[in-house]
Amino acid sequence: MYVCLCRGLTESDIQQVGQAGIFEAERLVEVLGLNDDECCGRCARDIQELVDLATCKLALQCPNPAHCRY
Amino acid sequence: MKAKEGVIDLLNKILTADLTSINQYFVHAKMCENWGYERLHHKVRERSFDEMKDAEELIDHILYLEGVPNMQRLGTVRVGETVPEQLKSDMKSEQEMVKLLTEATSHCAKVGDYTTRHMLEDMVKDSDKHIDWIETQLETIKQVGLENYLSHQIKKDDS
Repeated sequence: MYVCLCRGLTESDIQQVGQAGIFEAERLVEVLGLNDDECCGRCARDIQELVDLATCKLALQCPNPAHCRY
Repeated sequence: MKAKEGVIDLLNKILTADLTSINQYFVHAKMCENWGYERLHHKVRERSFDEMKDAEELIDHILYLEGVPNMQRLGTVRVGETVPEQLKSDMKSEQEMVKLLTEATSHCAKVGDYTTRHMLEDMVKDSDKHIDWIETQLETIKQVGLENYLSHQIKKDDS
């Protein structure tokens, strides 16, 4: 699933960011650029959902590395 | 004609869900076209157009009831990366739509607005039909496997 259409971010992208050690709500918003003008901010409204994805322990490998931005 | 209490708000809520669905189904249809799944593309595109017709009806009706149609508000467009994800996400949207429509129809009955109620009932029928179609697709995928299912979506429907 796409979690942010403005940035074209998918669930696996968020999992990758999480594996890189970024999973706090504020850091996610900052690193992914969810608070700037180019992002409508809808995804950041459900920030807990992104935190849950980033902290997911099950996904150890990105399922789609070719399209992964991180 | 003046609207009965709460009817405009409910119609605008349904309009928001409708406008969101139009976009979601349309982007799913276009992704299917891009992947070469012609049959799915046509089916999902058709549903997006149906939602647009519903939106037109809702806007006309809100104006008729002397309200302001809210075209500004949009819900979350849930875009799936794969066909099964798209089907599941469309299913969720339709289920939410049915819930909204059901609540609105009972409200309309309570305040005695039978014209609006009748219009919304027709929309529930379309949503139910789409849910049934999605259920069939998911069941077919389960039975024949995703690859077999997708290979049958490449060809365009004759009808």
